[in-house]
Amino acid sequence: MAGSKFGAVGAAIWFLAVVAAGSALGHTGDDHGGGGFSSGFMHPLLGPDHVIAMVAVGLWGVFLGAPAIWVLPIVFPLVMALGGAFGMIEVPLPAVETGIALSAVVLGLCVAFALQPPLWAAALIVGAFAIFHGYAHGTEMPVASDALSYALGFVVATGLLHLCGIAFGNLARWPVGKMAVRAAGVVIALAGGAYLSGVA
Amino acid sequence: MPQEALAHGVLKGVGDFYAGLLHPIVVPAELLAIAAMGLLVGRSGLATCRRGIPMLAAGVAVGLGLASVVTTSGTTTPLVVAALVAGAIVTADQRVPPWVAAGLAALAGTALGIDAAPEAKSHIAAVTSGVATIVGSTALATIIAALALRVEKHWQHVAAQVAGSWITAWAMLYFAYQLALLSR
Amino acid sequence: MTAALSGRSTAVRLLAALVVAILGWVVPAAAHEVRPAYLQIDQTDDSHYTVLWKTPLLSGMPLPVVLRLPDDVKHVVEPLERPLPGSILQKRVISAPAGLAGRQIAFVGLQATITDVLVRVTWLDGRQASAIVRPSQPWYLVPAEQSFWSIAWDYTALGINHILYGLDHLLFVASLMLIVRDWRVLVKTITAFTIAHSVTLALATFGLVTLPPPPVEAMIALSILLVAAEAVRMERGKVSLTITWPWVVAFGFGLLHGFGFAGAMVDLGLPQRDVPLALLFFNVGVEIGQLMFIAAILAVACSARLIFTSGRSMRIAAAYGIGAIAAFWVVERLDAIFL
Repeated sequence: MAGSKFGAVGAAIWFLAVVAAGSALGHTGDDHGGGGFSSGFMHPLLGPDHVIAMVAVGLWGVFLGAPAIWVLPIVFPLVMALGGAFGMIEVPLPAVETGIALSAVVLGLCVAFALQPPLWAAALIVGAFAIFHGYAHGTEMPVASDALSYALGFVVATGLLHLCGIAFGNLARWPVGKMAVRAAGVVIALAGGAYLSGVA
Repeated sequence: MPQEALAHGVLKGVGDFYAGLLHPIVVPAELLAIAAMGLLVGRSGLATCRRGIPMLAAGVAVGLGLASVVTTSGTTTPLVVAALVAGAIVTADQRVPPWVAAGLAALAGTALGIDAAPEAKSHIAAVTSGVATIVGSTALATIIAALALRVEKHWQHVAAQVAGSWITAWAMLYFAYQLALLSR
Repeated sequence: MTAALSGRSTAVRLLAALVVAILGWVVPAAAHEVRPAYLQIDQTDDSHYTVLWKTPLLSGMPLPVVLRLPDDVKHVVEPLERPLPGSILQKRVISAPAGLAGRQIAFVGLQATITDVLVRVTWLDGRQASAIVRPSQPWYLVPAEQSFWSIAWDYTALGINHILYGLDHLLFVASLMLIVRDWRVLVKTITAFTIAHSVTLALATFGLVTLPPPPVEAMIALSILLVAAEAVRMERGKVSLTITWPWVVAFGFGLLHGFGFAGAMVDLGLPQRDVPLALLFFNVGVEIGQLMFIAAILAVACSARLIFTSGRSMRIAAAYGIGAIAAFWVVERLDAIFL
């Protein structure tokens, strides 16, 4: 169907145009301001411990295979948002920074050994990790910022990092790629260990 | 100078038109409410699309009209509620009866119309901008609904759910933030 | 047979309108003319400028417009007024430590008049800038020193802006899209339109061909009306030149629309150097804007067709809507020519 392809291309260009227009209009912003979006978007990207752990979730999803690979990107943002909500309303949660670093180690090792635990176990590990990360972001959320734009930027950046991990993880289809992905897991575990021991 | 008059005739009102057209796209709450509605009606099937999209358009028109009668301090919260409900339904991959989706679309449209109502500079400017808002929001909802309706492959199905999940997560964060503001 | 006949009669009507349009422009042009005001700024050293401000007398009355320079500008020589036949010349010397580049000069009260202001700025290094300031936008922004990228970016933005705010050009493209069904034909048609208006835009910008804007504007309105009418005829199952070879028509009228773009671009003011560069990027901007518009229409149309089935009645309604607006413009613009 030429028509539908046509429509898809049109929609894609249109979307880009809309984004362009949005960013162009953003800085004229009245109370809706565009500043919140970029600060929300940058926030998850600026913490290396967050970035590596989020990519690790994507990588691991590839090893976990069929249902996990597409359940994770759907459920992950929700659990993360839940953690964020806990952070914002200041539900006491112990040892958040340790939890984050530990999650990087555990996730990194899971990728490095290409572990394939049952889905519930994987979900538990990833879920705990998502709660810790969301919590950290929630407590760090600036009070004065435009909440809507900030939250949007935050969710989009987190999701995109996760998708990057999945895309990179697709290299695991080839034997060499699989080695690369597992090596990445080792690096992530080491980096998490460095954070955990306070070296970095 | 006739040329002057001409240039003016073409340009007059176009600024208001784009302001109205892009309003639902640059304001995050409106954009996500429309996206969530589009996904919801699109995933619920053709019959729901045919009811939901006109209901959304009608809701926006009603909301724009209401805004000139009542003054509100903004309808961000209803928009986020609508986005949250629709987003959650899409994320959970549930179908709802057409009248539920259409009713939700009408509510979201009304909230959007009130939210997007222009500050009346002049009568013509307000009408131009209002019509553009109806066109812009309906067009966006139609595109998203059509994309969601055309889901055939598995990854497209997952993509729709991921989009729903992002919208739901965003709405949750927004409400947590409001709650945090209250408790501080 | 009827198609051919009515095609011919459309052509005859078009020709008649053209004749009327040209007559309309030529005859009254000399009759009553509003003379523009004139502002000349010459840099004399690093921070000093001579300012000449010449305003026309309208039936003995001075023009009620006050020149407002940026706040940090100081008068070295206070304004001196000298009456000339039919106008007043005001001369002053100013000092602008921060320079004038990127600053705004306002003409307070201009919006209440029908007078244009010609502005000319000359810098020590020989650079010049000039523009026409109209009552609808009664200020002049002194251009800053322009690099390649700033020219490229500015003129691309101007081009995008111009096409997106040029409702008449957009409606012409929209009416072409009503006739074109196949994407191959659409690509051909849009390419033809683009090539044609690029050619005339270039010719007009370099001053190789000049056409008076008012009849061009009227013809542009007529071109939209004609294509919209053809779209309705197509829905009725008729065949004509426009329907069979839309790209031919797009090319022909594209030549016309290029003159319209040129008028707009000259109004916006050309940089003194790098005119070809500015022209290129203005054109690029116009194409980007045009593609954005086409993409938006296609996306909405394809989506709507998927959900709501009756494409035909939507197309007819759109054609009539576009035609009605175009017909209004034709009358308005012909009227403006005769005034």
